[in-house]
Amino acid sequence: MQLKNIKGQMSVAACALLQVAAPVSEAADNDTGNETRWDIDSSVLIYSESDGRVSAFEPGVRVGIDLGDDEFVNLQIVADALTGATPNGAHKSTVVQTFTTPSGNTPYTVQPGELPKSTTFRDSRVALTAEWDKPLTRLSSVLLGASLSDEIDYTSLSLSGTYEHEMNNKNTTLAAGLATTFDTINPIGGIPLGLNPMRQAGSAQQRVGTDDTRTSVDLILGVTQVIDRKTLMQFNYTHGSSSGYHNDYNNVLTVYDPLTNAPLVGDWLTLDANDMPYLFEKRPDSRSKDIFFVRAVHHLEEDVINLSYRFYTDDWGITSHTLDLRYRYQMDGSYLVPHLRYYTQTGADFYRHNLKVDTDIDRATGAVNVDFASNDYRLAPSDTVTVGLKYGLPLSDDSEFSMRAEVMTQTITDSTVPAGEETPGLDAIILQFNYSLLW
Amino acid sequence: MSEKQTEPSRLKREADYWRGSFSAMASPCEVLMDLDDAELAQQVLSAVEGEAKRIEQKFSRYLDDNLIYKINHAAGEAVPLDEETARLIDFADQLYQLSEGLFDITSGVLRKVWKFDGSDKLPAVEAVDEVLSKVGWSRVTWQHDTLTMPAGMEIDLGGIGKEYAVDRCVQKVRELTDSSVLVNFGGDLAISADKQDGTYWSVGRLITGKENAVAMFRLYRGAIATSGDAHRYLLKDGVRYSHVLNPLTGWPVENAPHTVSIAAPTCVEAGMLSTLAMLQGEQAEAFLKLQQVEYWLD
Repeated sequence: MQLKNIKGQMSVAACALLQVAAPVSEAADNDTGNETRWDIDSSVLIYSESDGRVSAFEPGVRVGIDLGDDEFVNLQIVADALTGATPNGAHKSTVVQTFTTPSGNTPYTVQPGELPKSTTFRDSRVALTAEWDKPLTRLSSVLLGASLSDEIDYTSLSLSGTYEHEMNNKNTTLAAGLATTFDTINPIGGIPLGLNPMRQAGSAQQRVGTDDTRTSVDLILGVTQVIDRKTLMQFNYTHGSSSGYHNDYNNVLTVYDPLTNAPLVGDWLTLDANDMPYLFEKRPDSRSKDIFFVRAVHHLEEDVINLSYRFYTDDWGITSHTLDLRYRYQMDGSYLVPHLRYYTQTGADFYRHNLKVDTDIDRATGAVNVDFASNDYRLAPSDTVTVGLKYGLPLSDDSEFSMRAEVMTQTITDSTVPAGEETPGLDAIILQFNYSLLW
Repeated sequence: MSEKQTEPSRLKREADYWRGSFSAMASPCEVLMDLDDAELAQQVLSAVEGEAKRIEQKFSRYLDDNLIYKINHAAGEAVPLDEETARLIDFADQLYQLSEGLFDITSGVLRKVWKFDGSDKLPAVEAVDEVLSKVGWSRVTWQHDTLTMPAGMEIDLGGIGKEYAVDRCVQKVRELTDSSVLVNFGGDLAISADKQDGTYWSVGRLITGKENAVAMFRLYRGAIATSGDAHRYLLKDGVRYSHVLNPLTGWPVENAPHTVSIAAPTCVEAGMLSTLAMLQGEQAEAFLKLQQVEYWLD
């Protein structure tokens, strides 16, 4: 046996045997194997979309408490400050377009050739997360989590529980979890009536109450398998379903007139003189999704390869594939992680660029003959490529600084949209600075 | 069950604490309690004695009706283990890995040829080699909470059991009282909590070769364990063979210290570190210095 310090490992083993965090001996001042240990991560994330779209400034702090004996508590607080504009779903036009802000009180105009965006977009968000990982026996543990997120028009509460069981000499971990989320949507001005027209600012908007709710339940099953000393595989299956309000109340669709090949102008509806040629979007009030996820982590001599694939499908007609590759390159005293991600999705069945008079809407009565419609770019068929690089610099045994820069390019792949009206894709830059400290 | 004739536990009031005593695991067992309530003292003593005897009964290799017996006589069959036994086996497995094979719970069969009685009777080399073929934790299959061992091999948790019992008893004590209680099983000891007046427990320590010279440990909290061969050794041609056997060679470790005492948060840690120190032979002190623990060597 080589002469080496084994006290730390001995402590860990003894704690496991006795199922406790051991008390501290008077003699063992330097002991760190079984005391409560804290680690703190502080980070700032800056997210910036091109063309004056959304920018976010997101500081966050995470505190991890290692209570010993494989028991952990994690607390996290993240604040978001968002500014900028987000596309409102209407498309470009050759004429000046006028819209009404969600409150219903203020008009805003968009110049010809410009992508309509709701320019008053400004929000802040605070999110709190707490997790508790508690061993039950030497082979099983339970992970309980709760999180609360609050912004001006949106409150979300999540509760989750995961049971993990180790077997096969701890080479296999089975996990089963359940997560539920309760969302309350509380738009300024109330909930707009889906597939009904936006109205002139100052006139009575068509509302269906002041707020609405959505409930989601996710069931997660997972297997993590040690393949050999250097390779780990992870498989996850998630089934989720949600019911309630799924619309984006900010989003509208342009009413398009095929006779003029332009957004409808003039009083096309006989119902109300204040109606404008933009209808609020409407989505189904339930959604069911299935996700398959597989990840392989392989250690080379010093470097680590992390490759994952995710398949997503839901009953809205969206199917997506995500391929994600990270390579941790160990340098002398620091490390680099290049990151490449490719994402492609089909559009939702009810995704459409606009609503057309005669086919979707009766020209005489204004009656809409589709059940659901949305021009949200997140429901559009699209491809997204993300390229990034992270640099990590351990400052000591107990602290590390890292920074990450990523460029994301999203392209909407909707071939039905005529030139000049397409929703432009999204280019975004992500910068993150992180400092972690362990003591 | 082979009921040994043991003297019943006794409880005695000392100057400012209660002293309970009984015998278990072939050792005198002492419970010193920094409290006044006689009834509580009796409760604590009963809990400690009960737990010590439960562990002795469950893990002694000298009994023929427990799980250890079943494992040692399974003749190659897989034996399912309960949670507590599995944890002990896990711990032994980790120690085997940590010590690179020096700590091995299958090495007990070596005692069939080694009798440490202070005499000069060494076993024959062939005899040692014969039993050594029955030693080796790496030949045991430990999976899914079942243990499968080749016929003829044996496991012996005696190297862990007493220290484990001390720590378990201290845990039992903590369920009963916040007061400071010292549990001492034949020199392996641990304290449940700080004394109320902030002082320490004094524990006598025998120095090898000086029957009457007793040093004192001063212990505020944590645990102390001692490994030693004060009375268990062989002496031949001027070489003193300690009772600590190297499971890789089948022979005693040479030039090991007579006794090693170590302070650690738990008795299990202290005990295992002192055992591993003994196994280092003349490197014992170098090993101990690396561990950054408080230790005493003779």
